[in-house]
Amino acid sequence: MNVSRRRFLKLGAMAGAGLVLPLGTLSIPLSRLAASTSVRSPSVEPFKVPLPIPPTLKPVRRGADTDYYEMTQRAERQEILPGLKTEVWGYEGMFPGPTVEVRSGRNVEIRQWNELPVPVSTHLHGGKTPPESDGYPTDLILPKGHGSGSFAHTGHSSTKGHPHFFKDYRYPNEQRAATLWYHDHRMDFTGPQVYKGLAGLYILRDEVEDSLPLPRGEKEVPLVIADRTFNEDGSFYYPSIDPSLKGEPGVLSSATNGTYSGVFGDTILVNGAPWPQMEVSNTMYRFRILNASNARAYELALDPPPPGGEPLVQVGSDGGLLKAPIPHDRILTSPGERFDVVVDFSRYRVGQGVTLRNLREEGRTSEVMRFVVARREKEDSSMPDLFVPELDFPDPDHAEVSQRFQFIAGVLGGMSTVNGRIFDPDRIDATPRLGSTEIWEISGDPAHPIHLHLVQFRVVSRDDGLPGPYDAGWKDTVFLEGGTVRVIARFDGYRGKYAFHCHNLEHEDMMMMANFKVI
Amino acid sequence: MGKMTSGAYSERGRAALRYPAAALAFVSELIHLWVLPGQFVASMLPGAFFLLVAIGQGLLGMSLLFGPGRWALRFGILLNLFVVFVWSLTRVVSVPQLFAPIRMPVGGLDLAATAVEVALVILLVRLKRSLLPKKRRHRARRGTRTDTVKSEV
Repeated sequence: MNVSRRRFLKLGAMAGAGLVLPLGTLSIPLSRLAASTSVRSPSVEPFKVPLPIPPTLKPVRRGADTDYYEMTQRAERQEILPGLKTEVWGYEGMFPGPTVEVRSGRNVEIRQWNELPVPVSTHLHGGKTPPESDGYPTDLILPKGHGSGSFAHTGHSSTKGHPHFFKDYRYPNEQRAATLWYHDHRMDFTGPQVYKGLAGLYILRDEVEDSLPLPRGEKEVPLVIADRTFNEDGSFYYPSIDPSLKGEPGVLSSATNGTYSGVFGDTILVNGAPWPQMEVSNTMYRFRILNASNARAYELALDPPPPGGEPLVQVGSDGGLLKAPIPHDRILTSPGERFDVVVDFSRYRVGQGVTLRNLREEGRTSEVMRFVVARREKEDSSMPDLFVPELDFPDPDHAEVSQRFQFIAGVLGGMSTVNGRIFDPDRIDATPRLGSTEIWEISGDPAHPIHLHLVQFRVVSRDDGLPGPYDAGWKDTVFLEGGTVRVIARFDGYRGKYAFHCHNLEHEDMMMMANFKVI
Repeated sequence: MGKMTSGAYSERGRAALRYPAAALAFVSELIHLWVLPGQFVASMLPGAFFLLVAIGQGLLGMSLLFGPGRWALRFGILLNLFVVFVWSLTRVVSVPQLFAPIRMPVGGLDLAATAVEVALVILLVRLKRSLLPKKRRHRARRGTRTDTVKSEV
């Protein structure tokens, strides 16, 4: 075939301008996406670090009916991986933040200071809280130096925040004893800001719980489980489009593929320590388990199981104690859920190691932590047959309204939606009447932990059948792995606007959130 | 596949259309390449769309420089009409799961790109018409295209 010089030049120029230049440009984002999938945390030998216990926050003063606290959200360097320093953005500069322990019925006021370079909003997850203290995603505490400035957020021209850099959150605590937690809730950026450390426990106690002979003191142990990936220098690796968290929100599209999208770490932390170990006596322990991961669900089980089985006895859920204990071989927990569990180590021999595993995974992330039965001790706890006479669930026959919400995740970087719509802070998607009972039918693609602010609910059914094995008790977060779940809630407490959303934090940041307004 | 051999327009007259059209195609290509990296890392489908548009505009631009055939002009017109259509659509409706958070805002860069593409379509149409013999062009202008014209297509 004869190719003239002109034709050769033309073909060459067309190839250059039409293929080489565009494909060369494409290599820039492709290399960034490829790098994001190849980050591996520095190697850590499991079960060498002792389990840390987050300190309890002390009130700055106590009033007649109110305890006053202050917390500063700031950056600090913390040793998470042995020998390396990680910059965390933490409440009081620590990850997890200090535990707030309060009494049911006693008011708490927490002044949150923002010394971080970004806006923040603190949500008390599981709390029956007035709307102005609920940590609505656009109710921001701006960083110092921003005056009354505004920050761009997806789909909205701007979101205004408090012109000063603190806010007083008021929690009436008019609810039963429960394991709650507080965490950042900034619109579009909850995922990265929680990942950097903005989360802590809030334990509510009452007389009912005090009267029970459950393990307490050093035998009542919080387990805040979270997965993180670290860079070689020990810093957190989070695949933000804009790592400064001041500009464009969202994660790299490589983190939004597949059925289980979101940001998954390769290192499992418990109370901020990688695969820690805890020495226990051969007695019962109560573990307040919080899944504080952004996207990962865990199917927790003990390895080896104790003779006779039923290693994990659930005593509480998101909303406090169950009516009676429920034994489990394993417990499935999705992001945001809490499970209150008693383990009887007397069924193991002294000296034996017991690994808490995640049965949903293989490899490094299949292990969570290890217990070592290190000593004998007299048992001073017991397991009651009944914790409370009744849980006062609302009656489905009294439900005024039934509503349906469908949660669908975006693909390849697309937005996630509720009923086909992305989050709009100005749109109200449901208007329950104060004091009314409603049934909400929630469906969607896998896998979404659905969280309602303000209320606790009961799971009525799954796929028109019975509730699942992990749906017992009062809940504020329910795991939806496809199918349909129906929940019943009583909307009492306060009038105002609240959010409900997927607690896969990347889905939440990608707009899988909606509003209800109690009227 | 005819090349620009019609004598109806002078070569000089066609060049006065071709070179600006090529420049517009390259401007559109560069705008799409400029936003490609940021779009692709955030959302792959819009990123892939920008890549394909950039490739198409690059090929079109080079073709225009070297003397395009009718197929290239048709391709260019259809491509740019499609790009303008997609731009308009994404400013009116939202497909958030696939493409974007909401109806996309009208920005300076995308508005400039759209203006470039509209201008490009106009130039390409004129160029395509310039390839028709004078008589046919006259008929085509009156909307009475004959079978002869169709058979050429």
